[in-house]
Amino acid sequence: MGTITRININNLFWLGRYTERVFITLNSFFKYADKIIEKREFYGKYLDDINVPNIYKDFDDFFDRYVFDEDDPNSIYSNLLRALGNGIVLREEIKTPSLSYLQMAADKFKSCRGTDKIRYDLLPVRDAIYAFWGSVDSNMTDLDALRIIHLGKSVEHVDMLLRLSLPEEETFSALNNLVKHVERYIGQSGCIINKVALSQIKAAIAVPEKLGENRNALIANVEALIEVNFIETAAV
Amino acid sequence: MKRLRFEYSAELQFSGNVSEHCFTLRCLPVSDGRQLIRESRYEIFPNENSKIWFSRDSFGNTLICGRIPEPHDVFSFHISGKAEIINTRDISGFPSAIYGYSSPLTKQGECIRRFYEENKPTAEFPIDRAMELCNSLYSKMKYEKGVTDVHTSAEEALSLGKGVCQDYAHIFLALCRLDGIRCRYVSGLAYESGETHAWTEIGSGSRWYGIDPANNRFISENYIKLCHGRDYSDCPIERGIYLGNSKGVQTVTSTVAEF
Amino acid sequence: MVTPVANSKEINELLARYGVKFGIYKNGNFHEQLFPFDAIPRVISAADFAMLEKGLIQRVDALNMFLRDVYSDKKIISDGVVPEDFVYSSTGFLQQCDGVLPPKGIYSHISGIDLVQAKDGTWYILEDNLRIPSGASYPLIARELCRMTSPDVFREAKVRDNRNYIALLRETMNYVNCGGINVILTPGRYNAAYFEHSYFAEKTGAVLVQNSDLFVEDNVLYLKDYQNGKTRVGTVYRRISDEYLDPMTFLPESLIGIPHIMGAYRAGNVALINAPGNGAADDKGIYYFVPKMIEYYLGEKAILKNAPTYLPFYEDDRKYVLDNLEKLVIKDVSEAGGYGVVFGSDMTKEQLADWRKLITEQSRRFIAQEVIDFIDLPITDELGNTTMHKADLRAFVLSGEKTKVWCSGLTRFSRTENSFVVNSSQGGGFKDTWVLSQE
Repeated sequence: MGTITRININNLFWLGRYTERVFITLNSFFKYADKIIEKREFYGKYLDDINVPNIYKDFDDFFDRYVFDEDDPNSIYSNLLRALGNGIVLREEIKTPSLSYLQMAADKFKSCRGTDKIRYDLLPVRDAIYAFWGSVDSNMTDLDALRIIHLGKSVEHVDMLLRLSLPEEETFSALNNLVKHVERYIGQSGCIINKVALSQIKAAIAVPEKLGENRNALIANVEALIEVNFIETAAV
Repeated sequence: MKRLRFEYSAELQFSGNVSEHCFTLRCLPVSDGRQLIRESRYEIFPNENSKIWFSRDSFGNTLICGRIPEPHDVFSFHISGKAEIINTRDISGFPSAIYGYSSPLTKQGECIRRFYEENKPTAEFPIDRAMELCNSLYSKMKYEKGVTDVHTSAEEALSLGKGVCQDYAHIFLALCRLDGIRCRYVSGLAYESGETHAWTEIGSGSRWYGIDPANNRFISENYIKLCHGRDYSDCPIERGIYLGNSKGVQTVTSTVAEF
Repeated sequence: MVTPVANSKEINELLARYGVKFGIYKNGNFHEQLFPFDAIPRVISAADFAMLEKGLIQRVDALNMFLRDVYSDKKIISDGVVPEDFVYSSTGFLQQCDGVLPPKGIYSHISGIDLVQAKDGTWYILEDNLRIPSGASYPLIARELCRMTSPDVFREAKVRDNRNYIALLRETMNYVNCGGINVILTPGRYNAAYFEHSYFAEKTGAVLVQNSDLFVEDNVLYLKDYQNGKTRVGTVYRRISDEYLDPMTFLPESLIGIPHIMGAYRAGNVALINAPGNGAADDKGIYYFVPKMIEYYLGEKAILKNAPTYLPFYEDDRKYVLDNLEKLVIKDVSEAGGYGVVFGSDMTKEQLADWRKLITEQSRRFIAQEVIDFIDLPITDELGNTTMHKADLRAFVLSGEKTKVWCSGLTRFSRTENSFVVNSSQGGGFKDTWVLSQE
């Protein structure tokens, strides 16, 4: 192998991140969507918890734009489109069947706007993302490329857990997995690892009981862990 | 015969660092029936981690190509050598048909067509007809720096009525081509000019003849040709592309002297 | 008799699922559109295809010989078959390519030849596309899907399998390869045919690259890999046009090109599919001369006919064009993709006068053709009704060790019932193209 281009490393990483972001957001949204049945004003707390600015006029506006609006950069749908966008430029790496699940997820998602039974209607979207993960794992022939997707997924997973303040044990084991993944595979893959961030994350997991205290610093370190942005500007 | 020593240096100073810099230089003079290059050297900076190689283009020019991946804020090249210039108007090489067709910078517009109609040459042979056109052009144009740039077309320059050697050459080529004469653009060095100079070659039979429209004369033994093409855009002495948002400022010096 | 596939809806759903799209720019914004598929196939009989195959191989071979000639000895010009003017003043002729012999001497590796069938059954060549003809991926994937939705139909009908296109493409890339890997060079995500670029990369195993993945040193082209290593590239199936290919040779402002790639190509160290400069042979003005080329190079009569064409450049032709403008179609030789095509029958009196003036003044810029009343093909609409639309056929001819015609093609149909314009960029759709293996 060894023919992953530098631009593709970036795309693979972000494909993993956005796909995971959509998946986790969808799951947490489903949980809140249940509570919201009786208590509509609850959506403000939800936005606080996931660190999304409350730019919405009211519940209906939130329900429509936060979920479906392509032009709202925080909406679940726009994150799904970003995942799809990264997938489209990776067709030859991830293969057509894998890409088709993201395409189906996006098409289905779009068609649900205005629904009155959102959790039911969006179930196929979640199914498609599950299928996407199964498909990349079984169709991709370049394991280095696959590991970069998983790295993105793992980074996003930790990042979301930290933001959503989910149970500490879950966060702890996710962090451990991330560190393992980075140390075992990523050195060879062309991703650039921020060594300072890695050592600080390791220091943080060494004291699991204090994980909660350093939440913001930890988020910053997780975000900084992998440097894959190849921003190239050109001039004549 | 005249013995000339020549030198040409160009330095490109960038406002910040650039990288992945690729360039093509057409500054190595080659021998033809008129000039005999006895010695030539080139130097390029930065040279650490840079790759330099040779290539050719379809006009017959020798190219120095290069790639400098590392960040740098200055790029310079220097050529020097010795030449013998034979006192002849003939320059070897068959003028192919493509040189009879207008090129991007020599497209004839309204202005050039009108000028041609008003100054139609009367002589019989192409070379004399060309010289007639050169005369008419010389009396119409005023040499002035700073009003045109390297992208100015022949049509634009003639309608301005002003320009530098490159513009004279382009207008002259456009007129000659309208007259059915095959001709080409030449970049080179001229005695005591201090920079590069542009002139032309007019095809007649199986030979080329050098005419310098900016000075309204045949070229003398004091000219050293570097490269040629249908117009300037075919044969810039330096062309480069790089990554980085920096602007480059170029300074050029050249010397041609007898030795 | 064949039973037509009748599952347009299902197949269009599958095409959406697999992201089979093409991009267009509308008011400066990029949009991706599905390419509407109609399931009633175009059927070409075995006998018709045998004739087409022979004619297309003959034509493409002659075009390749023409390209080799005009970029070297130019005998066809000195022998007076094609006027010098039509070669040198064509925007497709690139002086920068003069004297360069591509690997194995092949210029047009992938040729897209557009044909129509007149109502009397005669096939006519509409135009040759020898630069970057696109579209083969659509019928290729559509066949796969049709076989999924209508297996019984394919059991009954004796249709030749067209899924060898990928093998043909790979074979062509390998044949001209100068040592190194195959890559497909795309201008990027926002190109109209990006789907096709990525699909072909996936299927052929070539690496999909953009310009910044490649660099040239010592006249050799390399792919940068993620560890800053380099891998030599032997073939570039490039999907960017000539003028953007190498900022050192063509447009200096091109930011999607690869500096010095022309030097590597000139040195014989990399094959470019298709060769730069092929526009010299698929210019709408040169089209007129293709039957003459076939006679000149091959000593044979052209098997496939050109649509009757007039060059206003010639006085007799100009007179005919000016006298008969209202029944002719006028094409601007410098435009592509269905643009710059106007029908005399659509013009008002004033427009006819304007066009006569324009044609007289710029006679080299236009060609005029008789309007061929080509066949309509049935299209089923959403309600299941059948309407008749104009359709053409883009045949794909691949030139490697041998010249081969893909036993399928892209059948495009016009968006509206009475339109003659079938380009996808103008809103048409496509069909599967069946070549029968026996009568």
